Amino acid sequence: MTANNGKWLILVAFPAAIGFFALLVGRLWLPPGEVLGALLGRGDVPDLSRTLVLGVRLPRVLAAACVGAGLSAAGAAFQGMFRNPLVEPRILGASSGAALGAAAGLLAGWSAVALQASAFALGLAAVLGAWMLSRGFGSSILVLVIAGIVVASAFDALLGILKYVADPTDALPAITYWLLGGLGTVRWGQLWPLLGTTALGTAFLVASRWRLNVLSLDELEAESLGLPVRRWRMAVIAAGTLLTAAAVAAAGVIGWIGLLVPHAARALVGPDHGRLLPASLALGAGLMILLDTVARTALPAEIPLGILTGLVGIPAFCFLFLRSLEARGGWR
Amino acid sequence: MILQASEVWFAYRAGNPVLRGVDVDIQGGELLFLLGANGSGKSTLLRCLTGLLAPDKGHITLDGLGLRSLPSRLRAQRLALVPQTHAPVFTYSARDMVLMGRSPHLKKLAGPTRGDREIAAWALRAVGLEELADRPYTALSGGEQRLALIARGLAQGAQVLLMDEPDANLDPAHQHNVLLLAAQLADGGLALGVTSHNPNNALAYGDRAGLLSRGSLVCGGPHEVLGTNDLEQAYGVPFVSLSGTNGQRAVIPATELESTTT
Repeated sequence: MTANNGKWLILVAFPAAIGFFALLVGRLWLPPGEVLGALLGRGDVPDLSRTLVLGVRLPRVLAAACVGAGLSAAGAAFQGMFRNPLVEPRILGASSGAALGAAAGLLAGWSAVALQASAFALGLAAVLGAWMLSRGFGSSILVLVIAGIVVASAFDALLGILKYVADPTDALPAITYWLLGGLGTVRWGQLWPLLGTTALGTAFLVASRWRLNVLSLDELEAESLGLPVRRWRMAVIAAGTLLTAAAVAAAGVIGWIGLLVPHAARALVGPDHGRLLPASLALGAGLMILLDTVARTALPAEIPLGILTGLVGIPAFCFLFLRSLEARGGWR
Repeated sequence: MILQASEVWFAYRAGNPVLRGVDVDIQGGELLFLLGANGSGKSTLLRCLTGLLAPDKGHITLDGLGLRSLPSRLRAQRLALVPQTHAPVFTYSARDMVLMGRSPHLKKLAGPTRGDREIAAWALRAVGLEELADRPYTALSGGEQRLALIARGLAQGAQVLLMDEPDANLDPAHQHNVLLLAAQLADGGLALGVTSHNPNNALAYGDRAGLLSRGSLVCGGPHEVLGTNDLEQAYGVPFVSLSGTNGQRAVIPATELESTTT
């Protein structure tokens, strides 16, 4: 039991420690005392440090935490519900929709908040489209996945049209750069909707933890245990889509996190969603803050976040995959 | 508790009914075997009896209440399905699998309570799996998995347990373990409906048996409805009756007594 508590302590301390560290580093290194002082609102902190910590770095750290936690929770929930550990939260088209919405906003020259709203709205619309499409064919899990692929491809094609007509001197690079992902432009104005949506979505998924265990069984079995499977599936998709669309709208297309983090969490705490979801939240938030800190500090110019998650995610996933194949027949 | 089906018709495709007016009842304290050839409609009947499929005609009642009109939570508190074993994708422990039986008792958006955990532990003891509780369910043997699923049905608090071929793919000793447990649970007052491919299991453990043939079900004492002629009609091969020294009867397909090499 104490070993278990220790594990949870580390899991909770992980994102908090990385988050605090991330506030220290940047082009200008700040001493821990000044950062703490700025966070606590003490008067003896230099104005520059206060602005850097509260105005620039803190919103960015919180945004990274939301994106990482949201994508990881959505990934864990989708993997359970689809009974497939290879599912990513963007499987139903949320991220293709959000990309199209953002590209449209960039083309039209909208403000950052309007761009985020349009990306979020089209992310939701894409998944809604996939859901409606699947309903015409019996809405089984397989049909739903295929409908998601169809809708995502349609949105990708539309995105291609936007890129084709975009001005190659300014709009096209803006779209391309946005699609690679990053949190460089995040300020408090874009953070609030992201914080709110992430809190709502993750709270619902954590509350549904036990239902997710039952949903991850055979469909008839779940029904026989008294679970209205269709209704719960819709609710979990809605929550996961909110999280994914909000994350992509704020940070661009971030791959791998939603696939990788639930795997790592499963290896640490097992498949029970009561433990898996909190562990995924903590790991996802910590990992994303870490990657975003690397993205903004490793090179003089910012490294796109989507590139970093891919570079880190692929070898990490291979490692976890081989390890779980070795350990047993099943997925941990 | 009594589960009663009357005049149940069911068709997956219109004009091609799988069940043609089936009457059956399962009462507390009794173990009923449902037998029939592959494709005879055993699984379909079991799904109808579980409330997962709606009959086209006829009705199924649980203690006089319409099964399909019962909210799914209330239905699951009274009636449990013990499915054929399968490998779940994720490696839940046997304890967690059994604990999932408490689902219909949980409050909205809540997890299992200490009381639920105690009930799951009791159910694991009742089937003799307490030692293996923390092993991954996927690492259990076929027979142990079946026992764990029965424990889940007990944890559900169900008075009616419907089992889908609990003796399939098990060696004789494990079939005996599982079916003996089923018979004991029936003696303890539960109502058990069990589908099976093996008429001898019905003869040895069943209080009653139903033989499905071409969508119709004949129910009665195992020895009455599982005569060699009835079995030949249902399965399409001749059967021979054998008797043990204690007078216990068993049947065997005549093909198995004929030498095919000469």
